[in-house]
Amino acid sequence: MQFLVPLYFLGALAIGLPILFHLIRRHPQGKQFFSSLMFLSPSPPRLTKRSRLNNILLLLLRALAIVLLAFAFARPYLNNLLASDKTPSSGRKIALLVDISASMRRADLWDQAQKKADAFLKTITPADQVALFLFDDQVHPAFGFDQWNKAEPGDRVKLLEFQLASAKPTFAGTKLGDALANVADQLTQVDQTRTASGDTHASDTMPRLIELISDMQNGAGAQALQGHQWPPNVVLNADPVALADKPNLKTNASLQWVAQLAPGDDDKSAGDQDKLRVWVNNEAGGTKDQFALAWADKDGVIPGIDPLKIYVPAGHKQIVRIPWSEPVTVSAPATLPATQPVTRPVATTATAPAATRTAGAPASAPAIAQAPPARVRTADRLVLSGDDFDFDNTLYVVPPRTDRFNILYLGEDGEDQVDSLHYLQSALDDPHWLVSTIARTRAHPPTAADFAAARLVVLTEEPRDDTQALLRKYLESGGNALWVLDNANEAPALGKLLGIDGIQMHEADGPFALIADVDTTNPLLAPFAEAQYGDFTKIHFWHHRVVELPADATSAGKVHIVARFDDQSPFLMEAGIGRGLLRIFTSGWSTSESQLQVAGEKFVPMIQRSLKRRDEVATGSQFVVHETIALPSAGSAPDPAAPRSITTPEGKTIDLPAAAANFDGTDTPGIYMLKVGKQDSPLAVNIPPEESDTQPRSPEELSQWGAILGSAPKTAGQVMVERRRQAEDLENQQKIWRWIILCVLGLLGVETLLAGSIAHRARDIGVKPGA
Amino acid sequence: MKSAFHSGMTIEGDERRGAASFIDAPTLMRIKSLEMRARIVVQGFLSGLHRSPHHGFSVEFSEYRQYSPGDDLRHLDWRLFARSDRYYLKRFEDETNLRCYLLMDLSKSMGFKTAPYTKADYGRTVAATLAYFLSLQRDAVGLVTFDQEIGDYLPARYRPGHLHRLLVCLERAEAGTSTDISRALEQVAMTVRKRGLVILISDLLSPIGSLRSRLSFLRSQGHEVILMRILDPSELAFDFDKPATFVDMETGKDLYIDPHVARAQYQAKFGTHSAEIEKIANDLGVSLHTFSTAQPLELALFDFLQARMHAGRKVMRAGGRGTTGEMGGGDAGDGPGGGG
Repeated sequence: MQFLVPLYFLGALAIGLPILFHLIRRHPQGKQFFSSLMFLSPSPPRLTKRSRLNNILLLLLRALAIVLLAFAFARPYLNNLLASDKTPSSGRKIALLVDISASMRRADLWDQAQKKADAFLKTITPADQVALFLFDDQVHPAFGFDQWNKAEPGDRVKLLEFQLASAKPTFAGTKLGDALANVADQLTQVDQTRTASGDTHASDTMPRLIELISDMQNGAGAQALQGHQWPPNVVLNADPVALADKPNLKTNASLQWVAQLAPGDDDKSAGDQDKLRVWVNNEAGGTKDQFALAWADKDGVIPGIDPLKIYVPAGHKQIVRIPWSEPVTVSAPATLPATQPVTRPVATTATAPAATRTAGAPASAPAIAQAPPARVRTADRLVLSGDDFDFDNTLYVVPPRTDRFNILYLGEDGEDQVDSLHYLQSALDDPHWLVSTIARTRAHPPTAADFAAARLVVLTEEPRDDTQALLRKYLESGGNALWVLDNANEAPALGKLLGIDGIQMHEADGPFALIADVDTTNPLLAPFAEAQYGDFTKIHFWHHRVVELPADATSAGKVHIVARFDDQSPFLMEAGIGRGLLRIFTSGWSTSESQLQVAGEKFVPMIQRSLKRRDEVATGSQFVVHETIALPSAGSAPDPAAPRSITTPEGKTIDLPAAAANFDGTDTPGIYMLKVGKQDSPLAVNIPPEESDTQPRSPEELSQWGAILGSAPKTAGQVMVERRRQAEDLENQQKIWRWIILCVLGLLGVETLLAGSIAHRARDIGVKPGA
Repeated sequence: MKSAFHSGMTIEGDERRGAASFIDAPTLMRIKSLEMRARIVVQGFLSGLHRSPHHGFSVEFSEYRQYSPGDDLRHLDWRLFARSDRYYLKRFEDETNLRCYLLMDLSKSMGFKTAPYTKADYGRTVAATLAYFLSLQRDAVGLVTFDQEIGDYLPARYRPGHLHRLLVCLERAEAGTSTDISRALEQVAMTVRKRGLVILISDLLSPIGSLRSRLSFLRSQGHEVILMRILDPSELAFDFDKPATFVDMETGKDLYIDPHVARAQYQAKFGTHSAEIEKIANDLGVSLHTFSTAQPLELALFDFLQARMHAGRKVMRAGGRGTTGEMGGGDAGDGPGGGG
C-alpha cells in the first residue's frame, strides 16, 4: 500500500486538536477597555486540570473518522505493478541508436554524435541495461544487451564507449524508419520471449527507451515507420545533431546519375545522346549557386579537361549534360600543372582507343625523349566543387558499353525475306551495340561456327535437316532463336524441333486478324503491361498460320502461348529447348504479312528483348552503396566454367563462388570491376541520392509515423515524475479512496446515533454531553 | 467682589448631605445640556447656602490704621480726622475679581466608564458647575482642555457669552493617546501673569514625574492650585471578575489580565501612585480632592468647598496673618465668610 499524496496524512493531526482544545482552557475572548494599564502586568494563561474525558467512544469514533478522511485524501493505492521499480534491478532498458550514414560525414556531425552518445552514457545508472546499435540503411548491433549483461558492471560502459569510438560513418544511405522499427521490435522481443517462457524477470517491466542520435535528415526514410506498429512501452528520445551553429556551412549540392537516353526516346535532347546526363541538386537553404563539374580519376581531377561551370539556384535541381571524358595521356605526374603537354586519345568509344594525337608541345625528338613517361588517365568519376560538403560530390560513372554481337538470319532471297531482314536490322540499329547480320539461305547453310557466334538466330523458312540439328544443338546450349512461320507446310519440321507430334497448321481465313490476348508477364511483352502501351488493335495481320497444338503440349508446358489472335490461334509461342529458347511467330513482319513493322513501339522492343538469353541476368552498371548486384549466371556466359571475381575500388579482388547469384559487398562508392572469364564489366557504386537530402527534420515528426516520443528521464527528478504519473494512473484505476469515504460516512452515521443517544440520556438526567 | 470661595459661606455639610434635594449623578448626567446640568447643580447647591452670594459684593471696609509718616495721604480718612482730629488710614478689602482657570483633562482615559457616564462627563459637569458658579459671582473663568497637547484655551474673562463658549469647549470629545498634565500647567504658567486659581480636573492616571515641578512653579507664581481627581469606582477597587484582554484606552496596548490574580498588585501600585500624588499635594500646599464618579456631584462640590474652608482656616492659622487684598487666592480665606 502506497500513497499518492502522503502529505495529507498531516491532516490526521487534526484529531489532536479537539483533545487539545478540551484540555486547554480557551484564551479569553472578551475585551475589557481600561483607562490605563500602568498598574497592570500580564497574567499567564492557565492550564486547567480538566483532563477527564467523558465519552471516550464518541471521541474515538470522531478521531477515527478524521484519520480515515486523512487516509482517503492521501489517496492510497496497491502497488503491485510498480513494486518491481523498488527492486535493486530497477532501471531502464536503453537502445542507443547512432546514425552512421554517409550524411554524418558532414563537417563535425560525427564528433557531435559521439559526444552526445558519451554524454548520454554518463547519465545511465548501474541498474540500466544499454545496447548500442549503429544504423545506416541497415542496423548493425554493436553491443547487445547480452554482452552488456555478461560484462563486468564496471566495464560495461567502457566496452560500449570503445565500440562507439571504433565506429565511423559509412557511405550508405539512411533508413531511419526501418532502423527504429527494428530496434523497437528487438526491445520488445526480449519481453515476449521471456513472457513465453514464464520467466518474469525484473527487466520485463523496465521502461524501454530508444535514444536516437542522428542528423535527422530529410532523406532518412523515417516514413517507413508508418507501416510499423510501434510498441506502446517503448519511448523514443531523439537527440539530433545539427550544423545550426555553423552559419557558413549551408550549401550542399549533389550529383545524381540519370538513366541515360534510350535510342528510341523521343526527347528534345536527342542530339545529346553521347553526353552524360546527371542531376545536379542544390539543396534549399544554401547560400551558393555556382558550381563546377570536373572529370577525375582516383588520382584526382584530370588536367586538361576544362571543368563545366554550372549555375543551380538553391532549392533547384537540374539536369546537366556533360560530354563523356576521353582517356587522356598525361606525360607528367598528375600533380604537374595542366599546361603540360597532353596527349589526347582520339577514340570513338571508351573501350577501344584507336589512336592518339599529341597536343601542346612541338614534336621535337629530344623533348619527347626527355619527357616523363606518359600515362593514360581515364576519367571514371565526376567531381562537383563549390559547395560546403563534399561527401556526396563524387559521382562514379561507367561509360556506356557498346556490345557487339552477330545475328544469324536464315531466309531466302525472296521479297518477303529481304523485307523481313531489313526491318529486323532496323529494329536492332542501336548505339548500345554493334550488330552484324549473317544471312544464310538453304543454298548456303550456316555452319556450326555461325551458330556459335550468333546471339540470335532468326528463321524465316524451314531449315534443312542438318541446319535443324545445328539449331537444336545451339538451342540446347542456351541460344535464342526466332522462327517466323512462313507456310503451313512447316508443321512437321516444327514438331520435330519441338519434339511434339501432331501439330496441325493451316493458313488462316479472313481478311485480317488482330492480336487479342497478350501475356505481359512474358519478358518479351513485359513493356506492354502498362495499359497505355498495351494496345495492339492497330496492328493488322493480313496472313497468319493457325497452329493447333496437341492438348498435352501446352498442358505439359512444352509450349507456352504468349500471344493469341482474335481467332484464339497462337501468334507467339515460346518453347524451351535445353537451356535455350525458341520463339515461334505465326505471322511475319514483312509488309505483305502484317503491319507489325509499322508499329515500331511494339516491334522494336520485342525484337531487342529477344536478344536476351533465357537465363541471362542483366547486369546494370549503376548501383548505390549496399545495393545487391545481381551477377550474370555462370551458365549464360560463353564459357560456363569461367571464374568470376569482383575487384573493389580499394583493389581487393573477391572471387565469387560459382553458385553466387548476388554480390553484397558494395560498402564504399567507387568503380567495382566484375570479371567474368576474360570480360571486364565496370560497375559504378555511388552514395544513394536520398542521402544528399540533408535538410534536417524535426524529431517531433517521428510521432507522426507512430513513434512514441518522450524525453529521456535523464535526471532522477524526471524519473520521479514518470513514477508519479504511473502511480497516479494506478491510483486512478483503483480508487480506494471511495471505499474509505464510504467507511467514514458509515462511521459518522454511527457517531451521530451514539451522540444522539448520549445527548438524550444527558437531557434526561440533566447533564450536558461532552466528548 | 468677593468670590464665594472666599466669602464666608457657612456650609453645613452634614445637613446638606442629609437633605433629599440632591440629584444623583446618573440622573443628572442624563441631562444632555451641560449648562443645564451646571445650573441644576448650582441651584441646588445655592439653595442650601445660608447666605446668598449676591450679598457678598460691596466695597467692604476692613480696618483703620494710624497714620505714620510715609503713608499715602490718599488713603487718609478725612472724615475721621474731622471727627477725631487724628490721622487714620482707611483700609479696604481687595476688590479684584477672582481669575479662575479650569484645566480639563480630555484624554481618552477620561472616557472610561463602568457607570452610565464617563469620567470625562463627570469632570465636565464639575467644571461646568464651577464655571457657572463662578460666573454667577462675576468671577473671570478661563478654560484649558488638554490631552497630550493643549486642546482649547480660553482666557479667564467675565463677559456675556463667555460662559457659553466655555461650555461649548468642554463639550469636545475626549481624545489623545496619552495625558500630559505638565504641558497644560506650563501653558497656564506662561500665559497667566496675574495670580489666580487653577483647578486641574483629571484622573491623574499618568506618570507623575514632572507634576511636582510644574505645580511648584505655579505655586511659586502665587497661584492657588486645586487638584480634582476623578476616578471610576472600578479604578479604585479593580473589581472585575472575569479574565479578559485589557486594552489601554489611550495607547491601545492590550494585556491578558486575570483580575483575581492582578487585583492585589493593581491596588498596591495604585495606592502607591495615589500616595505620591498626595505627598506632592501636601508638600506644595495644593489641595487634592478625589471624586468617584459614583459620588453625587453636589456632594462632591460640598466636600470640595468644605475642604477648602478647612484648608483656608488651616492656612490662616498656620500663617497667622491674613493676606493682603491682592492675594485673591483661596489661601487667604480671611473674608467675612471665613469668619463665618
